[in-house]
Amino acid sequence: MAQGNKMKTNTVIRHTLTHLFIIALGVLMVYPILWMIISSFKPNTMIFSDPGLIPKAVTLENYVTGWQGYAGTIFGRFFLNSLFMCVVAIIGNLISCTMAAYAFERLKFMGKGVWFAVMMITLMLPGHVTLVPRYIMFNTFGWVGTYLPILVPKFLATDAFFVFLLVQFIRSLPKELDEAATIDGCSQVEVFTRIILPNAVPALVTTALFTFLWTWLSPPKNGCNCGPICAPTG
Amino acid sequence: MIIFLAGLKQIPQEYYEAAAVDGANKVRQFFSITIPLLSPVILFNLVMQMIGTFQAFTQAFIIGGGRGGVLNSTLFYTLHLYIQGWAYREMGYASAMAWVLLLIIGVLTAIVLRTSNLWVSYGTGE
Repeated sequence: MAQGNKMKTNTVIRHTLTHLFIIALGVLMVYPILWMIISSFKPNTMIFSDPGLIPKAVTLENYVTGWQGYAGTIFGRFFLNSLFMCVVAIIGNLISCTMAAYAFERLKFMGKGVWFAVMMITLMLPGHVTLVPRYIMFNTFGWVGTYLPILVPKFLATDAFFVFLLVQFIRSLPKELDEAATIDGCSQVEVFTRIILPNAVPALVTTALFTFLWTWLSPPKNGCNCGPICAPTG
Repeated sequence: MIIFLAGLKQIPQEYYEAAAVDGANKVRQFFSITIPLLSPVILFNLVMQMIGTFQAFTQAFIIGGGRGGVLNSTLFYTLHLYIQGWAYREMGYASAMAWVLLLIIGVLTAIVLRTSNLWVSYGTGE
């Protein structure tokens, strides 16, 4: 019995230590966000003069001014714009990238290897390099100042990141599933919608999630995320 | 990490149960089930991270004050490209650098993709 108690105590100690360690790491990671949230309630002058977590004075003024937006356009408008962009971009990417990935992975067509290489190359070129040509192109289309340069390419599977991601996921699905479905009389389209899509849900969720994040935080964070109009970084 | 999570979600729970019945411990399960079944996703992350790292810019730009830091210790390729192009107005040189970078990444990616069939498994019967 004493032995059992000792073991139990050991387990408790071990779990406590593990949790303390994890919580400490978690606090470390959350700290900048926490700091940002708390700073948003501080008066402007106190953000850097009083950088601690507990504010000496609390104000809602930052939110009030922020909501008024810029030149008569309130924050709600910004928010709606972003939301609209995100929803359309997610729909576009989900439709076009899955189809492109399915074609690359399962179908046979001429020049498949070459086109796959071309797609990968768009990932390797730093986005800033194509910034000016892209602007000129969209300017010729008369699209500058509209939603189109951001939204139209999403329906054309231009986000090679997601195409490659989905190719990798679809490749890990057993081919036997497709073959069985074909034998049961499924057409190519049905194989795609009934076999591939339901089995690739985790990848689809990932695609939707990243599209949302990267459209919402539109200035590109890395090379993979070059929307058609990248704000020049730095 | 989210991509890995999605990859993990796709691995059927039954494999682990079967392995547990066969007497495989957690470590063995990790190396014999998780890693092989996750290898396509690992390949994806490897390639993307490689490309992304070659193009690392923002961190170098910020930490070196936009100049490459002390003794050019944080002068990354893309930062050098940026300085040449925008600070010295050597646009032609910068464009050439971008294409050379593309070439380098292209060759390395091709090598990784070519050798991937040595360690990446795509499920049954391949």
